[in-house]
This record gives sequence, structure tokens and C-alpha cells, in this order.
Amino acid sequence: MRYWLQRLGVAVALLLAVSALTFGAMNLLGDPLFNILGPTSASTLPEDLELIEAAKAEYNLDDPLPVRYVKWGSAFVTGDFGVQFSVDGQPPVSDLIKERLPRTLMLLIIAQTMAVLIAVPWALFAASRADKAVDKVSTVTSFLFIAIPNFGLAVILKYLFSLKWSFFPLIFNAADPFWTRVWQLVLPAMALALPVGSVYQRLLRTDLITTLQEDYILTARSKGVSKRNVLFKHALRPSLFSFVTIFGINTGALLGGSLIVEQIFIIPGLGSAIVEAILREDFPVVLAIVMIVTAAFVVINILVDLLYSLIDPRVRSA
Amino acid sequence: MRKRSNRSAKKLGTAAILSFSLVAGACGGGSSDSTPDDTPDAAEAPDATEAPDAEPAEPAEEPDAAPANTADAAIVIDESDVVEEDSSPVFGGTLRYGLEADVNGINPATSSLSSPGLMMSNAVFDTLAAFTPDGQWVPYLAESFTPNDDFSQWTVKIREGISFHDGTPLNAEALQINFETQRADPLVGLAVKPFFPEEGATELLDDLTIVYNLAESNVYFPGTVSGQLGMIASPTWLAAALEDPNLNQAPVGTGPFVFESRSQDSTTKFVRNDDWWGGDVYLDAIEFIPVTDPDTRNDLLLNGDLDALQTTNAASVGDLQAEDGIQNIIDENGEESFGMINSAAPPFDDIRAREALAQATPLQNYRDLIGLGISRGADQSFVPESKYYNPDVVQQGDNPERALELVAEYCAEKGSEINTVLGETTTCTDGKINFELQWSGPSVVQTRIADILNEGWKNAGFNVTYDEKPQDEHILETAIGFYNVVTWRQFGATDPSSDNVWLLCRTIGGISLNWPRLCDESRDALLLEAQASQDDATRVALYQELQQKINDDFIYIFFTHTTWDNAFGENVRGVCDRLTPDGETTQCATSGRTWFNSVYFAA
Repeated sequence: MRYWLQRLGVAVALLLAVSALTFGAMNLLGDPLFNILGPTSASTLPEDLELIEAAKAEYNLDDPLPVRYVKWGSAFVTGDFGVQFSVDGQPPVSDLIKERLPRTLMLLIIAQTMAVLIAVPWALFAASRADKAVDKVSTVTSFLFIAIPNFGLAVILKYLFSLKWSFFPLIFNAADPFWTRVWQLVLPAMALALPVGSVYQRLLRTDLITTLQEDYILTARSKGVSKRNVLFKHALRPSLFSFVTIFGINTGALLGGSLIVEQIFIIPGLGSAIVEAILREDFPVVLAIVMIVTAAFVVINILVDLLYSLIDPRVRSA
Repeated sequence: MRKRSNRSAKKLGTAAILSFSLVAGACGGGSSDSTPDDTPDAAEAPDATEAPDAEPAEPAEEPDAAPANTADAAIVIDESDVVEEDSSPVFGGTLRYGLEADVNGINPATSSLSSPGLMMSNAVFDTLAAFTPDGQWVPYLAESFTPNDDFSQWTVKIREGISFHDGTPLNAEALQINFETQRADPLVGLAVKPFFPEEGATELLDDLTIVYNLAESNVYFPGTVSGQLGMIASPTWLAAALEDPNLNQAPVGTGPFVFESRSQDSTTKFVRNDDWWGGDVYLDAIEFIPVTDPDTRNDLLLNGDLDALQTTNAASVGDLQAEDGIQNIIDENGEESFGMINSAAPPFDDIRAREALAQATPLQNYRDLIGLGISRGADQSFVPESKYYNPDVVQQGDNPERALELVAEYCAEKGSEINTVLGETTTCTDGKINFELQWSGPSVVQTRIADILNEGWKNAGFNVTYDEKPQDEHILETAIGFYNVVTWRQFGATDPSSDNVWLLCRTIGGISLNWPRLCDESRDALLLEAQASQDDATRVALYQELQQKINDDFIYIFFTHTTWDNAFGENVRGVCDRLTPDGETTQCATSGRTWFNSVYFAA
């Protein structure tokens, strides 16, 4: 219990630190009043001055930075992300998030699913044939995918599978039906999944090889348990620790990678939203996305901790 | 060469801030990263005129007359690739159109509509007037335009029985509301206010007739309502959008397509208006998809993921022209790409410095390496085929020796002045002029352009500081005059009088649309005389003289004429078949925009 309270405390501290840093940075860099009112923000006409004062009051712009941070934070935890700072209107940030987040989320879910589906069988296959020719080919292949940055891989995949062979669509179209849009995300997801899946494969393979040298595995084999059953029933689960850890950490990294992949495949997800928001100094949007990404990272890593105890009950009792 | 912090502009405070949206209103949004012309596009200048005297309207005796409608006989639009089909149009299908950028809103009264925004607006709005292929204005949503004797008042009668998509009837009051909304808007209004009297700019004569009282004579007023200012939106929607600006994303007009959905940065969808007043509309729907990378846009078209696209990227245009089965509509009549010089601040407040920069410019390299033989070199704001083209005007450049002489002369006399754009730096150091080159980025091509220009400038007496800025800031600093030299794209209106807004003294101020801030009363006189003249020969002479004046002032260094390509897949038909209600064929494309009501897919 104490452990989980500590974990929770660290998570809250992390979220506070990230939010404070981001809030401070954005407020130092941007000029929200101009983003909200446009040219009127510099007007000296009496009627415009009223507008300026009203906007300052509405968005707490006259308050000291710490006060604004507390007000923003208090609203944020209740789900009020504020409004976008745009001269074309101030739509709620939540509208943008609602539109963009599902695309990025879907991309990540497909990517992680693909990565796991690639990594686990591949690692089992390679571990069962450790140091043989096929394992060496597998090692070279996995290092190749790890070495290529995901944006490079994205360009290669796009060229080959979309442009040259037309297996996949070149573009994401928000107006298409749901399953068509899912299909449009498969190739971008593959660009994220292949490097990550290769990392998973390397770790899992190594852990599997170590596990396969354990005495209890030898005992099982000597009792006539088939090689397949040894791999799946006895070796896989205890070898998953590193895999699960890196899975959690990589989810955060994948979010970062997805920002670039979204640009390459023209997917209007959180990636393009945060890039635009930074350029336009629309800091409520930047803050919201940063906090969502941070929160997702924290939650996933807590879930990973939970998974440890499922994988090995000794963790739960420790 | 130094790189200046983007954040320095913040020190300017609120005065600087003021200019952003003004310019955005006139200039429109960004374009693709790799086009040579991804400078801010300032070609969409709504126009009008000056001067008071708003007399009550007195329609001329022949209400349907189209007076003083002298067209530019040499509009350079090549439609030869477009397939003509004798068979009847086919109903159905969704046209997917790749745009060079997305826009922030689609409200002609309050949004800064660049070429992509105007393209989307063409689906949902109709304009009061339209242009024919040879550049004559003709009534469209309006039934007639009738001027008074001196063209300072125009009586506009609109067609009967038309409703907006939300059921609101189109009447004269709707036009008045549109006009006043535009004028009151801080962005769009900057290009409207200077040209109408404060009081009595419009009068309603009856339910379908409105009078526009201009500030001064303008023979070409109907041409000014063939673009953004002539797009008539539902007054019900305009009022609602003022209350809730989010509605700017969901336009309501009288056009051939009705807004259905919009996902910003992805797809904006319009569906057929089955009750369109103008007749049959063939496509089921149009989807506009912004694809900022021109290579990707090309790939999507060639791959069949798009049915059409717009581009100004020279390499893309070349590739598309080389493709069998792609129908290219090439328009060289649009904007010019140029370097623009701030004449109001040292060092370029001295004409010797401006001329030196022009002489030092490696024009040929620019045209070879950026124009790629696709975009033609420009000497002025008219293409050689235009009757207004002045053959005696030549853009100076590629003359480093002359540049060095002028630099030496300038630095000897004024080298200790302060270049405020660079902070406390003097205008000259070690006999070289210090200045800042700013452009809109990040952009691979714009950076390449800067390098090409700098290669010539640094060897001819200049120390260049680079300053790449996000487009908003770039436009802002240009509008308030906090720049030395910027790369820019502008001019190219179908009627040249619509470009007055960039040149008149009255558009210089805290925020200027006359970006170089050069006021020349004699130039104004030429512009206003040309605008008020019905005589073709007089206009030609005036505009040719104007080009010479612009050339003599060294405020623009013309690089190339922009080449717009609207490319269509091989099964798209009817792109150039749009007619007015009176049966006149209209312009097929202009500055990257096309229309849609006549478009269909081949069976």
C-alpha cells in the first residue's frame, strides 16, 4: 500500500512539475491577448479598451503568473482545459482534443499491438534457435529496424507500400468511414511498430535465452515436456519483465515518434495540433496536449507496475 | 552572417501585435513548404476607392449595361490540357481536391482567405460578379451593375428568388449586412474602410437593389466583388458567427455546394446543393484536403488518392506537365515573387542602398535554381503578354560592380546610422551594408532562396542577417515596418486597379498594406486616374508609367511570375465549362482557384 502511495505521490509531483514548467515557458514566450483579440489588442479606442479589459479579466491575464497557474490547474483537474487562443474564435481546447486524440490513440494502439504481435513470436523463434544461422539473420534484421529512425522508416514504407505498390492509402481522410480510417493508419503504425517491435524482440529473446538455461527448464525438458510447451508455458512468462518495462517506457517514446510520423502521413492528430499550437503560441492547447501525454505516460507506467505483480506474484508480496 | 532570435520582435509590444491580423486579412494563409512562392500571399486585395461625395444614387439609363469593361486581352491561362467532352455530364462522385494549406476559417466577411480558403469558398458561396476568360467582369449573383455618371456610385440589382442554404432569402439587405460586417472586421475591414465614406456607404433602394457609394470613381468596381468581397454569406449565419466564431468553420452561402463537415488540417466536405439557383450540380460532394508538401500532393494525384490539386511549386508543375492523363490549367497571370524593401528605415530609406541591393541580386541564379525554367523571370507586375506590360522596364540585377560603387557611396555618407531592425548595429560595418533578410518558415525552399540571394549580396557589399519567422510574425513585422528586406508574393489581380491597395499612400500607417512604406503622390495620381478611366489606351499608358515608377523606386526586386497549376485527374470533366446565369463562360482558374458547379466525372 505504501508503495502505491509513493508511486501516486511521484506521479502527482511529476505532473505538477511538467505542468509548471510548460505553463511558465509558454507564458513567457507568447502573447495571449494578441492571439485572442488580434489587432484590437493594441487599439487605444475606448470601445476596444473595454474589450481588452474584458478579455484580460476573462482569461485572468492580469493576474500574476503563479495565480494564473493555480487557476488554470484547478480548472484543468476538473476537465476544463480552457479555450484556444485564436483570433478566429476561442473554441474549447477539449473540442480539439476530442477530435485529434482518438486518431493519435488509435495510431498508438495499432502500433503497440503490431509491435507485440511482431516481437513475441519473433523472440520465441529466435530464442529457440539461439546462435544458429537463422538467429543471426534475425539479429541483423532487428538491428536494422532499430537503427533506422521511425521517420526514415516512415518515408521508406510510404514510398514502397503506398506510392510504388499502392498497397496502402497515401493519406488519412477524416471524412472516410471508421474502418477506412483505421486502414489508413496501418502503414503509419507499422512505421512506429517495426523499430519498437525489434527492441521488444531483442530484449525478450535475451531474457528467454537466459530463462531457457534455468534448472527448472532443464527439468521440464528432461521430463519430456515439448519444446513448444516449455517456451510458451514455462519460459515466456518469467521472461516478460524487461519486455513489460520497456513497453511502458516506449509508449511515451511512441507518442513523441507519432508526432513526426503523423506529419509524414498527413494525419491530423495530436502531433500536428501541438506543432501548430507551438507556432501560433496557442498555449492552452500546448499545455493540454503536454499534460495528456505526461498523464498517459504516468498511467501506463503504473499499469506496468501492476503488470509486474500479475507476471510474478512474488512482486505483489514484496 | 548571423541568425537573429525570433523572440526579439516581442519587445515591440502591442503596436507590433496590431498588424498581424490586418495583414493576414489581406494576405491569407501559408502555403506549402517547398514552393518557391511560399512567401505570404498578398494577392487577394479587396479594392475600392477614395474620396467623399456620396450623392444619392442615380442609376444610368441602361441598367444592364456593363460600362468601361476593358479586359486584359492577354490573360495567360493555358487550358489546352483540359479534356472537352461532347457527352452529357454525369451525376455523382466525390471530388477530392488537394490544397496547399488549410485555413483558419471560411467566412468571407471575417476570415483571411488565401487561395485555399477562396477555393473552398467557391464551393459554398457565389460572388456578385465573375470574370470571363478574357478578364471582363460579368454579373453573376447580381443581375446588373449600373454606375452613375462618374462611376462613384454603383447600383447593384441582385437576382430574384435566391435563398441561402439556411433558408434566409437573398436580398439587398443581406448585401448591406455583408458589406458592413466586412467593413467592421478588424482584418477584412482594413482593405475596405479606406475606400468608402464613413457614412452612407450603402443605400437600399428596394428589396433587390442596393447602391454602393464609393469614396471616389471606380470604373472597375464590379471586378472588386468577384472575389472575397463579392462572396455573399447568409446574414443569419454572419450574425451567429459574430456571436460564436466557431461557426466561421461552417459557412452558409448560396453556392452550388452545402457545407457538411470540417476537420481542421484534414478534410472539409461540401455536398451537392440540389436546389441551387444556378441549375444542375453534378458532383455528389467535394472534399478539400490540405497537403502542405507539394511532392506528396503530386503523388496523391498520380496515385488516384486525389482528383485535383493546386500548386505553385515549379518542380511539381514540371512533373505534372510531363504526366500523360493529367489535365493542367496553367495560370501565369497571378502573383509575382519578389524581394521587398522597407524604404522607411535605414539603410534602405536611401535609394542608393536600395539600388545597390537590386544590382547585387543574383537574378539569373534565382530564376535558374528556383524558377527551374517553369516560372518565368519577372521585371514588373505584368506578364509580357499583358497589354499593360512595359517593355522598357527591366529589373536591375546581376551587377555586383555597380552595387559595390553604390554601397561605398552610401557607407561613406551614412554608414554610422543605426539599423533599428538589427538593434544597435550601424548601417555599415567595414564598408558593407548590414541588413536583415526575413522570410516565412520553416521552409526548405525559402531557406534555399535566402542562400542564393545571400551568395550574390555578400559578394557585393552586404552583410546579411537571416531571420526565419513563423508566417504570422513575419507578416506582423512586415506590416509594422520592422524589417529591412523580406521575400514576398503579391500583385496579379485580374484587373490591376485591384492592386491599388498595396501602393497608395493612404494605406501607409502604423499598420501598412503599402508594405514598403513608400508614399509617392504622383504614383497615387496615376493609380486613381487609371481606376477612373474607361479609355483603354489611357489605362495602358498609365499602368506602363506606373511600372516604370515602381522600377525606379527600387522597392521591389522582381524575381519570377508565379505559375499556378490546377491539375486534374484524367476522368475529371467540365472544369472550364462554368457559365453565368446569362450564359457567359467564366474564367476557368485564377491564382490557383477553380470553380465546381460544372465539374463531373467521366462515365
